[in-house]
Amino acid sequence: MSANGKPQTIEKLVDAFGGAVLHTGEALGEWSAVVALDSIHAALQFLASDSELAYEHLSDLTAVDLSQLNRAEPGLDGARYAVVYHLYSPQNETRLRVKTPVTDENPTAPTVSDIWAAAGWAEREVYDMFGIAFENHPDLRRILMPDNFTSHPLRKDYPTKGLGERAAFNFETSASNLVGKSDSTDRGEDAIESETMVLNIGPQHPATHGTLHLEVELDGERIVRATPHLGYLHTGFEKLAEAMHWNQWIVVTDRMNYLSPLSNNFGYVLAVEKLIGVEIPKRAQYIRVALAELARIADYMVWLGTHALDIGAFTAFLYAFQQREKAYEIFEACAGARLTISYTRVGGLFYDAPESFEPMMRAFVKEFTDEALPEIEKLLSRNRIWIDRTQGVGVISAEEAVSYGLTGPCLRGSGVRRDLRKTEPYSSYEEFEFDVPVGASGDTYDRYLVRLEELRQSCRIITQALDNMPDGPVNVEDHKLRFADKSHVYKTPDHTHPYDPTQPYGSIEGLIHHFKVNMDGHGVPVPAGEAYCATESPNGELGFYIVSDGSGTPYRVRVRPPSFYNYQSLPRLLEGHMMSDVVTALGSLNVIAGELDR
Amino acid sequence: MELAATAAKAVFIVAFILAIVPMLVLGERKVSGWIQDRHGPNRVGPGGLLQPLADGIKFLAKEVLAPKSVDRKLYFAAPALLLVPALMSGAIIPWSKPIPADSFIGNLLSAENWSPDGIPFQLARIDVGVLYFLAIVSLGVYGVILAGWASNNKYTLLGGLRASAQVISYELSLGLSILAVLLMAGTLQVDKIVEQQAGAGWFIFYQPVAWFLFSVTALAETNRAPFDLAECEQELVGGYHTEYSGMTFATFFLAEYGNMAMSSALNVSLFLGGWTLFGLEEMIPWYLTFLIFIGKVLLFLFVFLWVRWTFPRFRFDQLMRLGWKMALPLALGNVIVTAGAIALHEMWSAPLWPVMAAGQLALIGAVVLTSVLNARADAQRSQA
Amino acid sequence: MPAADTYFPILLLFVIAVVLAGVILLIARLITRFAIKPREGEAKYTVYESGVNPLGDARLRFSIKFYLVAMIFIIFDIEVVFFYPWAVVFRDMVKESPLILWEMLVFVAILALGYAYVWRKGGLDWD
Repeated sequence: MSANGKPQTIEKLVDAFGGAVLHTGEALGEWSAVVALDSIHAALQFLASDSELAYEHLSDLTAVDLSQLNRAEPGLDGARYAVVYHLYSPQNETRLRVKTPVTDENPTAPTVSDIWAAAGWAEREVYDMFGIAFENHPDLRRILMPDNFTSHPLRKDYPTKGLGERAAFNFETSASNLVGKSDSTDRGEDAIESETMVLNIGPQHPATHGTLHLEVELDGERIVRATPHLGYLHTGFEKLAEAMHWNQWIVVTDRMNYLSPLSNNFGYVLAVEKLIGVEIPKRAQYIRVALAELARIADYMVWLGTHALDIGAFTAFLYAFQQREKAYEIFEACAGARLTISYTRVGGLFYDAPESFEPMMRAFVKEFTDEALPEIEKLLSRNRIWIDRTQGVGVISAEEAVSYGLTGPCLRGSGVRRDLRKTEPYSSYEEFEFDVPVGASGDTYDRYLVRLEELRQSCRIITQALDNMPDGPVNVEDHKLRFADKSHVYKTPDHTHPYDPTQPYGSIEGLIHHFKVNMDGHGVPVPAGEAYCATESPNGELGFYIVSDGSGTPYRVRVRPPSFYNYQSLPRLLEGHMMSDVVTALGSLNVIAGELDR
Repeated sequence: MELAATAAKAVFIVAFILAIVPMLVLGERKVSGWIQDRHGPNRVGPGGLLQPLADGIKFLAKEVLAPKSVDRKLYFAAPALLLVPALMSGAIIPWSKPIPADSFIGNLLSAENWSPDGIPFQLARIDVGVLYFLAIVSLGVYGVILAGWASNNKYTLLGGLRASAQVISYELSLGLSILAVLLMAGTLQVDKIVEQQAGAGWFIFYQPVAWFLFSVTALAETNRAPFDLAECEQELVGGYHTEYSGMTFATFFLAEYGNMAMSSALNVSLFLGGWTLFGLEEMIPWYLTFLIFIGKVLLFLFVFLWVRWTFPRFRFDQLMRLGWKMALPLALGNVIVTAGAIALHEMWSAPLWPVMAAGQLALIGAVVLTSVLNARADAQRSQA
Repeated sequence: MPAADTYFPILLLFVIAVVLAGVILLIARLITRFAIKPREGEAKYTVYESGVNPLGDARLRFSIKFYLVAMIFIIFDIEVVFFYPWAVVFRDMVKESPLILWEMLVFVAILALGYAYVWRKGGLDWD
């Protein structure tokens, strides 16, 4: 940061581009700059390649439809859309948000996929959702919606009631278009000449857990080309958010990475809390951390199990799922649900953790580190076949991994020591001691070893969280934010408040708070503004970019799904590999369809 | 009456396979359940014992569905082409010591009139013996590749191609590993090989390398994990039988498990002394030697299952490398070492076992040495 | 010659096996035909390709590598077949003269030469 309070980045950007930088500003600790459309490519190129700034990492690329925003965004006057780039500089550990105005008359923007490989799919998604065309993009097709879809759902004028698009949308043709979805026409003749075989792996395939669809071109057993197709599980979560209360959408986040729902709940409420500017009680933070790490373990267990299953080690799969089952029992004890737990709330947690929480966690961690993990390792880590199958498969170098926007274990497997829990600690992670393992060669085996080591580190964090668990409330005191305690709303037959049928309500204040927080148009009071909040979810950087207009519902929620960016690197990982390596490389990325397609 | 005996033995072989396959399927599920810390089938009948029956009824009641684009003749011929060799390969297996003419069955067939030494419990004592087994078993690959091709499906085609490439690659090592036994026994007839082992000790004690090679290649020949690339679910969905349903699918199953049982039976006959048990076979009636034989076969089948539920799967190039570059030279070397040992024994009457053991140890040493050198080279390459 | 030493039992077994295989498949088709009322539907009778319509036909000229494996196999398999008669008589003949051992070593050396050639040429590598 320089003397006048502006970070070096902003100064250098303004120095270099002068008038093209339409606005710079800071809010909630995040710097953002608005750059004119003409100069955006040059500006981003500058930010990425300048040796002092080195924004090598495109965290996310998205857009916002400004047409119904009730405030004027400085620098974006007259623009219908803003394309938003979230950049991260690993060298300086700083983030920067860059926006550029795009008009309704000419919705085009230059592609940045030549700067960051990560932008390829992100731009396709913006094109799909907003209709903003990216010039010179190598493969600008719809990505989540079917090819014969005619509209752009995240535009604000897209009808959310009535038949809307569906009136024009024929599911019969859409079904037969599944073939058309792959670009078979432009390759047809060519394919016959070289006699390669075009094979669909997925969406209904035993190894594409979820609904992934990979179109591979095979020459015998060798892969000539692999093209992933997305969107089979697209559920419009981001659009849904625009019609839901702040707390309501927590339930939706469960469905994203359904292997570790709590990590999503956690990331989302952190983003909302950042917008509100509220600090939640230490106890809630610690419980969140402990459960997030437990969710990580549960997630990795599914990953490990299915990964091993794909390579043919069936037994490891069931051993891993046993541990996941035990983790789910703890979630059940806390939240009452096993899979879609929705345990966090804006301002704290749904409930305090039960008394059995600590002994259950300790028993789990003990069994997991002492018995389960060594047993699984014994089956795989030194197994010659396993090593042969995973070593040297799906190699990605550190530079490429960064360029593709890989995060989480996939990035660390390539030797980049980046973990948001360390670099941008949230929810008291700075108080925990743990190591960040990295791999050396960036192959599947390294990603496997990194994840195994992270399992141990997660257990360490859980133990520390339990040892130092503070007492106290698990929700902020502010009744405008938190859900009223159920016993304050209505008398329930629980141990604290004996049920009294003559007096059904707890207290009138409780009822009012409950009403206010839940009613349409009231909700949790989130001030107008925007925030990007990233957490280290099991798959990597799970970011939530939220634009609020101060009403009871978000104006725009953008999820930065780690799987989306990780999956994008799959064709690169498969270059020159064999048919059997598809499942190996795919498994090592741990792509979760719910999160991928949202 | 001789015809009746032959017919009875033929029916026995077919019935044996038809009976052991459901047991094997149940056993596989129970063993995998046990290995994986779960129950396995336990709903149909006591402890799930009737599960195979329920499976059978279900298979029968399922629709046999052939996609429109298949080659219908080959599509329906393929399962039969696989099943027939699987049923036939048991013809040369000696199931027990000869059934005495004065036993119940001997009386029943009035055996003393035509076979005073007792009825051999072996369908065909043909002099090509082991060769017949190899020939018949390798016919099965036609069923696999035709199933893969006729289905007109890319997964099945890949599965069929993989299966055929794999089977022929391992057939050489299989044949060569048997050769070491033939060198020792000096005959191709399986019953004579078994009888020799009764006197001289089981061949596994002389030929552990050949036995190991035979067992591994038998896994590969029967398409069992970790060599199940032809039907690996996670890559090729169902492999060559993806398009088959109901009873046609069950036929593939029957053949696969039948092959497993028969290759175990041959393994036991060639290396583990067949129905002999350290001289005990002299003292007990023939049906107990039959049980000894079956017991050994079951032990082997258990190993098949154990391996399947423990190891991950090879990749295709690794599988070919293992077959061509490791198993084949090793098997060839074993033949030479064995021939040399026998020559020493016969010409200068060196004691057979120590010479043989020295040869085997030398082979194992060579294998260890090459793998260590390879690992070194790998390490150096990765450092570079 | 007792029947067990001839090929007649094999023929018998073959007949039984063929009849059995035929009967199994026939019963299955009859059950499908008469006891089950199969539902019709176009998608049902397409081949399976992960739930989407297959791209093109599966009847392709497949990779040459499979043929290479087959050819190498045939060459070596024929040579291996020569081992069998040798192995059977080896033990008896080596008593008289070690010539049979030397002869085979020469044969193996030639075989090994061919094997080494194929190895060097990369014929045994899948790639």
